[in-house]
Formats: sequence, structure tokens, C-alpha cells
Amino acid sequence: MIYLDYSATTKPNRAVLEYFNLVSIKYFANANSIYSIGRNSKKAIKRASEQLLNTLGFDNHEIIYTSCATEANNLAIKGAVEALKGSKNRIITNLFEHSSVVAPINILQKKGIKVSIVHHDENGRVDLEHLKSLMGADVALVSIGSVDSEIGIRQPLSEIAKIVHEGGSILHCDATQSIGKEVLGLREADLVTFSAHKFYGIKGIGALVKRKDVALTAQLHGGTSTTIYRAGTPNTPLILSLKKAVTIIYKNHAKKYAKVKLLNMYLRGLLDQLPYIVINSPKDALPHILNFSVMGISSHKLINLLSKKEIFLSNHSACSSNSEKSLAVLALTNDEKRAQSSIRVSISHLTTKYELDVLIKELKKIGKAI
Amino acid sequence: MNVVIISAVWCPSCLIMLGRYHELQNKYPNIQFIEYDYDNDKQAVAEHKVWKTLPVFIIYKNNEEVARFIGEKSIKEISLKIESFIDD
Repeated sequence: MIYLDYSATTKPNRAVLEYFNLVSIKYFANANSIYSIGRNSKKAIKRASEQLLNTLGFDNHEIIYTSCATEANNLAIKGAVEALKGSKNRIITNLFEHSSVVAPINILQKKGIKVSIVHHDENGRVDLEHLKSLMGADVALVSIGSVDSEIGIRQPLSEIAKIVHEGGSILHCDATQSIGKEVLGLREADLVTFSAHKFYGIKGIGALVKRKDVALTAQLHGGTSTTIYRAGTPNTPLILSLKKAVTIIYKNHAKKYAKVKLLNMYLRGLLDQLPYIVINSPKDALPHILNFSVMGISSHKLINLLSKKEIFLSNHSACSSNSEKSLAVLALTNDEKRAQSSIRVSISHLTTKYELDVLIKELKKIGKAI
Repeated sequence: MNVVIISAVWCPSCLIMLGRYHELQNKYPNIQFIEYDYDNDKQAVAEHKVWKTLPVFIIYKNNEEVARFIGEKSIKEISLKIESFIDD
């Protein structure tokens, strides 16, 4: 099997799974119980949260645990807008957001919130001058992901945060595709969301990292959990396993990143030699994602052909699979054919050159049949 | 005349077009606008023969489809079409 879909999900790290089993027994007590073993669970969560924030470089934020990044995005967007109690009624976003960002904004729009779409340049990066022109006293929230999931476009977060803060608003950043890969500029965002399964953690836990002075209205009500922003029994083992996954992925991180960058360059070089392939990812995209179009064949057909050879990759985000084309590629290239025939190779430090060679060999066979 | 709009919450183009539809609703108060959700209103999606490109905006006059817009369109473009079907 050749797995090239690390942006969809990753196989959990064995050490994370073993740690999860260990702490499930050790800290089984409810962290909100007031007796000693409950207090021990609570202390373990507090320590894990401090370590997580520290590893990710946040110094003025708190962490709200959720079931996944989708829940975290819903909480961030709906919770931040609702907390303003109608005093501001506009959201700014762009065309490269994940469906779990687009959907809550669409839902809010149906309830009367206005939406502005910021323009992008030819590489998909936010047009900062246009963003400046869109800012106003009515802007409740700006939601721009650090890296898009389909093409790997990196956004200039520090510059975006500066404009948003000067405009008197708050910045939500869906960092699901960048945490575990890079963390540039995240601390300048007010609300940052991610999930563990994208970096070899366990499915079922995500988080919203919130700057402490940002108001947020809970979307899931009940008793107090680890914070007042999301009710439910604190999931101590998953929280601790999230911390473990973050710790492991950032160990020797520079080496892992360099390997992925080299693999990306290697694959780009091989793809460049195939005349029926057009690369969609800009050169400065996150190296973990390489999106390209195989002209003359639909992405669905291509994925099925590769799947028969046990090569697994995607055409676009699994969460928007209702669409037959990549909406992100369409937004970037304005080319329906490229959008319909695009595929996303997402690699990791676990990927090998051999796996990429096999992919190219199969693409050559398919190319001959087109 | 009435107008049927079919969109999905996860669709970025729908994010753009929904605001334009609301403007058109305000601009043409005598036209009935009916909104369907692509994922929840399966019967309507089938009846209106909507495939996978969204959003879809269909103009009906005397129960006959007279125009269909798929994807992102400007307010001006849609307005011109609507006005071409409004009786004097």
C-alpha cells in the first residue's frame, strides 16, 4: 500500500496509542470530581494544556477541547459572532476555506450576518490591500486558514493579523493543515483550531486555542468542563494523547520538514516531465501538499485507477466530496477542466522516494491511455 | 414568476451567491423566492434536475423553466434576465 493522503488523516503513532491506553486507566476518574483521584485527572489536564500551549508557541491563550476541528471551527465562528450580541454583523473570509469553516459562515449568513470575500493573488494568497479596504466597524470576525487543505496555499498570517487587529476585529485561523507541519504566525491569531488526527494523534479530539480576552459564547451547553465554553465530561485520555502527539511530531521537526521539502521537489521535478500534467500548487505552498491536474481524465476516474494499484490519494478535501471538482483549484485557476481533473498528493516524513517513483510509473501508464 | 435557489452550506460559491440572492429578494419583492438545501431537500434537488455544480438559480414563469444560472453570477446578469421575463 502506498498512502499519499496524509492531509485527509494519518495513521496514529503507536506511542500515542500506548500512552492513551495507559492514561485511560491511570486517569479514569472524572476531572470534575472533587475527590483526590478526580483532582489528579484535573491536574494532568492542566499540565498537558500548559505543555501544549508552550509547544505551539502560545503565551496569552487558553485551550478549549472539542471532538474535532469541525466542532472547533463551529464554536470559534458561531461563538465569537454570537458573543458580540449583534453589535457587529459581518464576516470576512476567502475562497480556500474548509467546508467546516464555510458551513457555519453560510448558516450565519442565513440568519442575517453579511459576508465579504477577500480577493487573492495568482498564488492564492490573500490580497492584503483588499482586506484593508474590507475592514470596518461592522466586522465581527475574519476567518482565514493558515494553509488550505487542497492546494497547500500558505497565508501571510502575521500581516493578516495586523490588518485585522488595526481594524478592530478578531482573527480566526483554521490551522488544521499546518499544526504538526509548521506553526508560523499562529500566536498572532485570536482563535486557532486544529485536530489531532492530522499529525498521528487519535481521531475524536480537536481544540480551539483562544486568546484569553476574546469573548466566546458556548455552543454545547451543560455543566462546566475544562472551560466554560464547551460542556461535557473532560476526556482526560484523549486530551493527554493530543499533548503526546504534538510533543512527538515536533521532535526533530526541522529534519522531518526538510525531508518533506526534498520529496516535494523530487515529485515536482518528475511531474514537470509529463506533458499532460499541470501543477496547481504554487511553489511556495506547504511542501506536504502537491496538487496537480492530469488533463484528459477526471479526478474520480484517476483516483479509482490508482486505488486498484493500492495507491491512495484524494482529489480534494474528503469533507466536500459531494462536489465533483476541486472548488479550491477552480478558485485559484478559474479553469473548470483543471478543477475536474485535479488530484492532491499529501506527503509526510514517512513517505519514501520509492513510493513517489511508483506513483509516477502508474501516472505514465495512465497518461499513455489518455 | 418565481425563483428557485438550490445551495449547500459547505459550498464557497454559495457563500458568495447567498448574499446576492438576498439583495435580489429585496429588489424584486413581487417575485417568490424559494430556497432549497442541496443535502436536505433531496426531492427538490431531483425535481429541479440539479447536478453537482452549485449554487443553482432557476427562473420559472407560468410554471415553465425559462432560465437557469449555475455557479457564480453577478447581480446585474441575473437582474437583466429576471427583468426580461417581467410582464409590462
